Parts: sequence; C-alpha cells; structure tokens
Amino acid sequence: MSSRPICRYFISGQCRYGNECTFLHERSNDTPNVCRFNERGTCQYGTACRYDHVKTKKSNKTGVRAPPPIASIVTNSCLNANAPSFVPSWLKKPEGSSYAEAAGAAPFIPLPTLCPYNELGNCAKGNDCEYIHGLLCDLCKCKVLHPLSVEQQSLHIAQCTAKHELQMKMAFAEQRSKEKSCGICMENVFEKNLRFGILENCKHCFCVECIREWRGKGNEFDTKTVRSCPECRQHSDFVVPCIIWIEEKEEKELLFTMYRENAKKKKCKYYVPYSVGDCPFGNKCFYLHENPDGTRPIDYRPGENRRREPELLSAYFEALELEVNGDGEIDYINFLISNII
Amino acid sequence: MLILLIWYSDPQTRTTGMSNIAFSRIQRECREVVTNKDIESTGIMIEMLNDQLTRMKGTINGPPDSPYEGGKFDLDIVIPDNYPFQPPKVKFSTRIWHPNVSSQTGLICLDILKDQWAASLTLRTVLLSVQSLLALPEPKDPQDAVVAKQKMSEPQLFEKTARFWTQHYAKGNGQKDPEFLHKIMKLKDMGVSEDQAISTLSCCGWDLTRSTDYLFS
Repeated sequence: MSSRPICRYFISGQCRYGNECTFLHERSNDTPNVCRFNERGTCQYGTACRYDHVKTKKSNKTGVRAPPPIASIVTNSCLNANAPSFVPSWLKKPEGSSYAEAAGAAPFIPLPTLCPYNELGNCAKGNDCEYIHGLLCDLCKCKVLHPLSVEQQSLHIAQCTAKHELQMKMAFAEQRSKEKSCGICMENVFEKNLRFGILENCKHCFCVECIREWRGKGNEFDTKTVRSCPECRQHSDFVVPCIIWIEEKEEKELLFTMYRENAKKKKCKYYVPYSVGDCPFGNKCFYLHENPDGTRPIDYRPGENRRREPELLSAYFEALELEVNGDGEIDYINFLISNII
Repeated sequence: MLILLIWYSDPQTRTTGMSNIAFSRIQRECREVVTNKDIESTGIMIEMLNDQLTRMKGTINGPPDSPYEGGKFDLDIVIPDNYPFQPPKVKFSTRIWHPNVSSQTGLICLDILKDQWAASLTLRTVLLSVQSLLALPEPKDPQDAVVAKQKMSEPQLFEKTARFWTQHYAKGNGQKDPEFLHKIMKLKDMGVSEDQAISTLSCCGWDLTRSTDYLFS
C-alpha cells in the first residue's frame, strides 16, 4: 500500500475517481498542501486558491514542517459543494464586512436623515415624526443642524458664515457702486446699467464706454493726453471693464490678473504666425500669440526693425480698447467668490 | 432775429445734431452751475442762448489783485457735437487787454482748450481756468504778441492799459486814466472810432504820434 504514490488530485481535493483511484488517497505530513504563493503574500487566487493558505513559520521551513491545520484538511478532504474550491471567487464574501472596514477605516454609520419638512418650516407631525428634527441655525434661519453630529454642525456654520460674508461683500460693493457716476458723461453708472472702466493707476470712476471713447481720441489729441486719466492725468496703460466699482489695490490687482488670464485665451489679431514684430506689444501683449502647430514664440519682440506708422499704432490701441466684448467681461459674482477664497 | 443770427452763424450745429451724451451733460452742468453756491463767490455764470444747448454765454468776474479786478467779462461758448470728447470753443466777447487773449478777436490761448483738454473738464472748470489765466498771464506763450511784448518790456504800462480796458469794456470801477482819455478824444476828433482809437493807442504804447502815423499812413 505504502508503495503506491500519493494522489496529487486528492491532496488538492479534486480527484474524481474517489475510492477507485489507483493512487493513494492519504495525506502525509511530509507533503503539506500549503500555497507557496500565499507564503510570499502574492497568491492571486486569494480564498479561491486550492492550496492551503496557512502561515508557516520561517524557522519551520528549514526544519520540520508544521502539520497543516486540521480545519483545512477537513474542508479540503470533504468533497462538499461548499468547499472553498467550488465557490466562485465573485460569490465569496470579502474578509471584512465592508470595503471601508477592509481598508482599515472606522466603521461608517450614516447619520439618521433630518426631517425635510422641519428643515424649512414646521413639521406637521411634531414630536411624533419618525425623522430627526434639526436644530435652528442662527444664520440661515433653517432647522438644519444635526443634533447628533458636532462635525455636521460646525461644517454647516462655516458654510453659512462664508455665504453670509459673500452676501455682505456683494451688498457693500453694490452700495459703493451705486454712488459712483462717470466723470465724462456724469451719469450714474449703476443706475444706467453701464459697466465701470477701471483704470490701472488711479481711482477715478468712468463708465467703460466713455473712457474707451476718450482713449480712442488719439488722432485728435496727443496719445499721452488720452492715455491719461481725464481727471488727474495719471497715465494708465489699460482699462478693464467691471460690473462693480473696485477701488482697493488688492482687489484691483486680482481683477487685472483675471482680465489678463481671460484675454490670454483669445487670439491676438495682430500676431502673424512665425513672424517678428507684427504685434506692437510683442511678448507683453495681453492676447494669445500662437502658431498653427500649437507652439508659441518664445522671444517675440515688438517690431524693432521696422518703424510703425503712428496711425497704425493708434488704430491698434483703438482696436485693443474696443475689441474686448462680452467674453472679456468679469463676472462679478465669480470675482467676489474668488476674492473670498 | 438774434436766434436767426446764431442759427446761420454756426453751420456746424445746423447740419449735424449734438450727440446725446453732449446734450445730457450740458444739462447737468447747467444744473450744477445754478445750484452750486461757490459759483457766486467765484463770480462765474453760465447762460443758455438756445434750446439746443449748443451756444452759451459765460460770465466771469475779474480776479482780485489784478488789473482785471472789478470787471465782468463775457465769454462766448460753443459746444461741439461730440462734447465732452472735444473741448468747447470759448472766446471772450468782452474786449480785454491780456497777453493770452487776442485784443482783436477775443480768442484765448489756453492749453486745456486745445491739446490738453480732458473729457472730465466741465464748463465750470474751464471758466475757472480762464479766470486764473487772468490772474496769472503767461506772456511766454502769447495769443496777442503786441500785448505780450508790452507785458514783458513795460509791465507798468501794460497794467495801466489792462486796467483801462477793464474799466472801459468790462464795467470796471474806478476813475479812468485822464491822460488816456485825452489821447482817445484827440484821435476821435480826427474821425477815428472809439474802439479803434483805444486799440491803436494801446498797441502803440499810448504814443499819439505813432498812433496817428499808423492810422493815417
């Protein structure tokens, strides 16, 4: 009997001949059915592996091998339908009860839902309501603070405060804008639904149409005269349209950055691909200089080797002033939001 | 009759209408002039001459401590169609002896009425500038070369002449110089009109011989 070799299908629990098998159906201690990939931790079959996933101590590897655990022998040797070998991997339950738990996270217990009727007003069911009734938030006047979660409460209050601050800022900006009138047409800019033309270097208020028209008068007056503020004669290189009146230096800087970013998305109509000196602003141009293959000129200087006709230059200035239409516009809500951030 | 005169004398306003912005701005400016209290103290006034608001009459008082003190000077203001992007045309209708104002036509040499115009300037600020020009003449950048030359070489005679002009044309107070009056009378006796006599004598430094030579040669 002992001369017969051991059936290797029996060892893995898969011999289909059963008792009629010519090989020895017996487990010997010398041939433990341990998955060697699992020992290295790389078995890709996981619980579906037909070998035993048991940890053998490294010291045992060289010396006497530890006997396989009885449980695994029993399950492997009994050819029942529930044996791990017969259960497809996708049907098997994962080790933990949830993925979050398996990943080592704390168990997630969803908060009981707040009563939506109570949130906005009064729930007709009152105390008999099956949902939880939230606590009143002082800022938004809604009963949305969860009584069971301090985290939810502080998060909501933070959101509410930010929203409130935004509203305050908008109200202030609106108030500030309402008092301003254009120094050229003398109309109230806000009342007439006009946009403000924010000058780069001074705080004088004009509507964008007026200041652009004035800056476009380069053929009648000296360019230096029209490029300066009509009130204080402070020179400004550009005008930025904005729906609200902006005076503070930081806010102005932010507006200019946003304006430049916006302009950078539009193609400069004076730039000729692969050429030098067509756009009088060179690399300082607000608009996009891009070649058809997507490359951009690196060292692009304003026309040095040819003298530009003054009329052409003033025409360019005019175009630059007038070209910026609706999409160059700064949305003032966005502006304020980004301002708060 | 007066309206007709204005109508035909200014073909520009007849052919093309004033822009909307110009009209509303002038209206605002007039309201401002009427309501503003400090305008009375500075002695500036604006009067509308027509309903189109293209032509106005400005009045300024001569600044104190100047030969123009006590005088009331009228100015003729013409509003261009694309005001305020173009300066108003302002000139003196009252005759004045000043290096930066033509003694013959009343044209003013003032940078803000020419290349240094700014769209934010108003009729009020323009008139204030003209008033300060009266107080501080700029003979180095003259409109009337004869006056400027006199101002530079004979400042005292210039002052006396300017004062006489103010008294004579701008209802300035004080006693007119009897010597000047005497010379004017002499020229008038020769059949020269009063305005021409004053102007010629002033230009010739109140030298009667030179004036007669100038007039009759």
